[in-house]
Amino acid sequence: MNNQSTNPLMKGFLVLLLLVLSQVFAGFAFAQNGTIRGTIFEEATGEPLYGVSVLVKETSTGAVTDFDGKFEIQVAPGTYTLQVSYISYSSINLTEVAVKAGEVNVISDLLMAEEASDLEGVTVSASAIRTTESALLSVKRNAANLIDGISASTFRQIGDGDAASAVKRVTGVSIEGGKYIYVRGLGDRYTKTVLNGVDIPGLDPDRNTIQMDIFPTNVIDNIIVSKSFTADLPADFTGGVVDIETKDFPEEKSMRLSLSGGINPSMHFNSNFLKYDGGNTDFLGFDDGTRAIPTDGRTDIPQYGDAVGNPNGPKGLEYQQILGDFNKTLGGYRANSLMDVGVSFSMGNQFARPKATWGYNFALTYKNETEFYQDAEYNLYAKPREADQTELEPLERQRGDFGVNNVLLGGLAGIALKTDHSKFKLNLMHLQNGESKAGEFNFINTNLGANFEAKQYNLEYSQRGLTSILLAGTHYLNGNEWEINWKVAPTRSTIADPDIRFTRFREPTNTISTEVGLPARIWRDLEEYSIVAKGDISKNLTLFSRQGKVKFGGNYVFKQRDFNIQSFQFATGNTEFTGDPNQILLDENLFSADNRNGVRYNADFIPINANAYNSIATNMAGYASLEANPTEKLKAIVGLRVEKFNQYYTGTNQTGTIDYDLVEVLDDMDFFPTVNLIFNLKENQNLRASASRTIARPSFKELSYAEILDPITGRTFIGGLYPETTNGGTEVLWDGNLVSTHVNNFDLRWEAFQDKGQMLSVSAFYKTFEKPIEMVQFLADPGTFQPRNVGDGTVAGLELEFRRSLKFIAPSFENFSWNTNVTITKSQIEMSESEYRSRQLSAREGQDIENTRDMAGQAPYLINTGLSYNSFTTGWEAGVFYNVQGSSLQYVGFGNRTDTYSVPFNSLNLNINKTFGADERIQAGVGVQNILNSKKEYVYKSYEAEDQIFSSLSPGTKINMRVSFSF
Amino acid sequence: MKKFNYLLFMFAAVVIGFTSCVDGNDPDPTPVDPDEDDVLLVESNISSNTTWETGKTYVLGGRIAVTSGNTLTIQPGVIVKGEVGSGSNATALIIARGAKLDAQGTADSPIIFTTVADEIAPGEIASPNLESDISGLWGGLLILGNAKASLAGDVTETQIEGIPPSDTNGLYGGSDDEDNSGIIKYISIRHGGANIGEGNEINGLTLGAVGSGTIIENVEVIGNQDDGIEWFGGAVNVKNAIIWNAGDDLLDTDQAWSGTMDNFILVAGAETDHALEIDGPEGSFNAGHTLKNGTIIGNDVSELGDFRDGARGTFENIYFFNFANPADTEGRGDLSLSGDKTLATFADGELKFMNLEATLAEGVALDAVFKNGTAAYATSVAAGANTVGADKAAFASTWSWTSASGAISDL
Repeated sequence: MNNQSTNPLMKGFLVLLLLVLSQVFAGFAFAQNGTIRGTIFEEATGEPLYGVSVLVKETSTGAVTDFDGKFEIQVAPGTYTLQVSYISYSSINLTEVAVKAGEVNVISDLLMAEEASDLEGVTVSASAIRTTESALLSVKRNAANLIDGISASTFRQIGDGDAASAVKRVTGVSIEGGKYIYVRGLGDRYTKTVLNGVDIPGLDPDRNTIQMDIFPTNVIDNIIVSKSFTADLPADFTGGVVDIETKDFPEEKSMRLSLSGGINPSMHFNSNFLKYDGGNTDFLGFDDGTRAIPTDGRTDIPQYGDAVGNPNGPKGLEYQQILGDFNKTLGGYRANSLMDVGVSFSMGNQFARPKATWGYNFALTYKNETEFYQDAEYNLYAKPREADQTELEPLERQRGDFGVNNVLLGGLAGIALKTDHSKFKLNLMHLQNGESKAGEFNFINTNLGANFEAKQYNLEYSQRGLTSILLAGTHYLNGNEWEINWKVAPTRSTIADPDIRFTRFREPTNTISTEVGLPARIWRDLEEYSIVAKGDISKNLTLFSRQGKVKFGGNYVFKQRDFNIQSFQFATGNTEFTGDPNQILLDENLFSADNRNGVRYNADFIPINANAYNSIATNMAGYASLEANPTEKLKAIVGLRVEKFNQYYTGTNQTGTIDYDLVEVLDDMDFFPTVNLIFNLKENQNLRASASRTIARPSFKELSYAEILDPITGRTFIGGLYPETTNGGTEVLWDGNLVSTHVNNFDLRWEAFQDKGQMLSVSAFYKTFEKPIEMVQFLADPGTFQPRNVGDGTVAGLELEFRRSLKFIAPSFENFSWNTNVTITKSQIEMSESEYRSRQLSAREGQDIENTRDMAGQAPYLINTGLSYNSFTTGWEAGVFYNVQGSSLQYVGFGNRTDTYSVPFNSLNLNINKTFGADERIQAGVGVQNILNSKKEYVYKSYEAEDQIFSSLSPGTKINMRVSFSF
Repeated sequence: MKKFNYLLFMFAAVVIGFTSCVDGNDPDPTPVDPDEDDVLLVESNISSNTTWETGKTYVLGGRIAVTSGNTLTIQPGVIVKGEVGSGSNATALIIARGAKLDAQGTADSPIIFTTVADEIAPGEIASPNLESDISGLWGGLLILGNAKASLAGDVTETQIEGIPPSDTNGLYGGSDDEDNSGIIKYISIRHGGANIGEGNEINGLTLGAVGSGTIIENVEVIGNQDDGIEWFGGAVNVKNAIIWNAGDDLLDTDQAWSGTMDNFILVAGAETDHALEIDGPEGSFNAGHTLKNGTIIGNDVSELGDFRDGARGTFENIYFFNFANPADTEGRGDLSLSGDKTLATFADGELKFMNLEATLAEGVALDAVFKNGTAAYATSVAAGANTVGADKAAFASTWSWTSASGAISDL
């Protein structure tokens, strides 16, 4: 259960650190001159320009750009003018380029336009082109498909610490539960996350996408969200594919140390905070073995029935040994909470050598955050049995406090090498996250057949690890005519929940029985490996007498997941308790020869463990895509992708009658055509249209016979391979044949770009879903959920985005800009037969039941808006940002259970940054999160009934501070 | 080394993946080799008419269902033992809808259901090695039928608690109140009640929508981790039942059971919650049941009864004694009506009490025990002076361990 993977990795980091440090010091040796570096793009296409001449006017020295559009010039300190020229393009005179000894001045994005007339070249001051956001905008404007994104410079401005909080600034993107990404309100089933363009295994068995909160922003260069499909993208997305690009080839020597802290008055320095003692390495994000399972995961351990007849026999003694080895802590304690702290360090540089340019990148990040939720609520309400009654009745009410300590440790190291015609990149990354939770709740059960009050204690620990290696190469042949890209990326991801502990005492008697639930301990493990190999070849050619490009390639993905849960229940026999959870497992209470009706464990996973499965998926893909300009104003990208996807499952059903060993459960071969058209209406104004076909496949867990009970919620998950029948087996409600969902996507977008990154766009989209998969409750058991294909669905939506300088109000407002994006959607899905029937049976009097409803998880609207101030001359940056997502269906109701909806969370954040000193060596910032002190709530909704709380948490208002130093 | 293995594994996996010919296998059946000739292991569902013979012990290797259309006949004196297992691995015998159990023990030769940990042999009544309060060692006996039940959401059938939802032999409910699930006489069920999760447990004897064509007489449940007998709807009548040391409730009724229980003795143990837990219907179908002629022996931690959620029915000629003073035990030792719905059914006469008697602890008032107006139907009597109660003669020590142990010798 311990995590061994960190140590070799740490070793790797150390080696790299030494290597990097030696390079840093070596760098000081030749530091008399200064360096100018820059990148030059073609304005119309956004592509780097090869062979552009860059001349320092004053010294007549210069350079020619390479295939990445990059150049580097060494000059003595001073202020220069650069002359940038290229045949048939307007030249640029870049003035006021300051160069200091031993430093690098980076000219990030120079856009060259094709010469329209005999006009003089453009003259522009170097300080006017410093923000890199416009580079992203330029990529966006010229990209073949619909993309949106956010880059490192914005993370800094907004002060977001992890990818989850950063990415929700992107149009149409929202984050659920602080972790999971939704694009255009479509749930994570329809969103794909890739790292550096390649598939990575997720860290949650219940989700398709990865938890975004584990990526610290200091390892990220940018996040690009593609909302329309092109043939070179994986086909299994619908809302969007989110590509997290880690930092690559640094432009200049940089070394940065950042310190951050956060104080939440409602959570920090609170002596009422709840915690429990874990291991000595909790502060590093993994358990040191303190929470290890006392059986080592064995499945041949003795059970109570093997021991009770003969406690002092070999099995009886072994049973007692194991019983005594369970960690005896079942309840947390109150102690003072500390504030959030974080430290991150990053460095990088590049060195030009005669034959090649080397670059390296290194980043290390550490965060330790504490949350404390008081009066948190988790309830279960249901419709009353009489159809003329509408108000919901409480069945279970849980209210109490819980404390969370979350540690994130991440490291990234990369080296890149560039020669005249090739570029190689090797990236290593490890992210480690540990979360410890302790809770105490009052529990009131008024559910049918039960009627009691209880005190509940929860202790949980969850650790996640992601290790990824990326080896990539780019080669250019015949100048820039051919471009070959390849990538190989093995990844290992693990999630372990060692020793989830759950205890409930009935009040006021302090008894434990089956009615209140027996104490439970759970060990859950997921380990997933994947390897991706990818190759893309593109060739520039002339089509319709204009520039065009043909692109083709292949992609191979292999994924293997191993999942296992072992859970134990502790029956307490006739033991008497005081109500202290930490006394339950005292030695004198445990089963022994003298106490045969004492506290004992039952291993629920023996002999059959339907909670375990092992699955493999392979995906072989090939594509061809053609980009051409049939007319001067029209750009078209047409493509076709083919994917052969196979999934294999190893596991057993609950009764053991079905035992699969790598049985093929999915064999899909699909073609995914796509057409993207871009009409250049006038300069800086595009109209885009696209149509494509994509797919959403069932997950490993869904295509299984797994039967997983969550003892905390009492809900059971059942794999999609089980059929369900009713009326004595005569009527099939679900045939057990879970298939992939085919999706047709149509997009239309009008966009206009203006200077200084101002833009305006309006989009419309429409998607149709064939047999979408939803979680459906069993008719015969409302606490049980199963993934099933339901009736066809549609989603239609509108998006509006603008980025506007407030200069139009008055010139003095030049430094203010207003960014807004709004997404409105309407979704509809045809219910499964069993859901429709159940809704009719439990309808209230006067209620009309239709056989369609909203798609689960689909938000009706999403708003992001923010006002920011940015002055390069004074070094002040400030912004106020608002984000809200409309109420969306979270859990589909069934029987007497009603639908659960999210309550809009009005998030208002403020950030202020100031850079100080020469070269912005010091940067300090302060931010306030959740200024409105909103609550995170989900509610039960029912016909003509008052909403009742499903869950309610108060995150409070948090003040963040950070300071960073550049060296 | 482990890292290297990963690499090897990944390489192998990639090779497998590329060749793209991952094949399935067939599960190989495990051969059964029982130790003794007269101990037989049952490992799969019973899907043809089957007889278990006198003198033999049958071990339930898992959750065994008699499937629809088939009858399991158990001859007198047979011992059925559940293998070790808990949670969804609890062993149990399920008589599915449409199947029948013909288990007719006799007053001298009952049929005993117990755990493999119990060293009891044919011919014995008391366990030689397990105390009567040891529980949770296996599941229990579940009889499921096609009679009516009042279910949440007004569905007509649902999954019985304690059985994982993927096992369709766990479904119960229908519209045939005269349904016949067989004949059960002189059986004793012990040490069971393994549970899946909170509120999802196996009772000693679970009767789910069992129809009135079924005959159930002379049944005993001892040391069950959950309830002794629990009815979920249905119309079956039960005569002569004795329950001892239940971990939760001795008797529990739900979902509008419409039958009658006549002549019963309930003996609370140190973990027993309620002697009677009577719940109302869960759907719009309403019906009540009758409990009559019972003697209930209490315990300090137990309540006489809790009537909940619009409970319905008639409760008559029942004698209670040996319960705690509710004032000293925060409400233990009382009989209460919970919630407005139950107060309403009581006021309407849909919930009726007649001829209740109790021997109360020193100085305890009748209405401190019989709450919410039920005291009007109860009388306080001296110990042994009761005029109502069970007919003990039905529970001979030749078949009932409770009786043989002396636990009811005071009656």
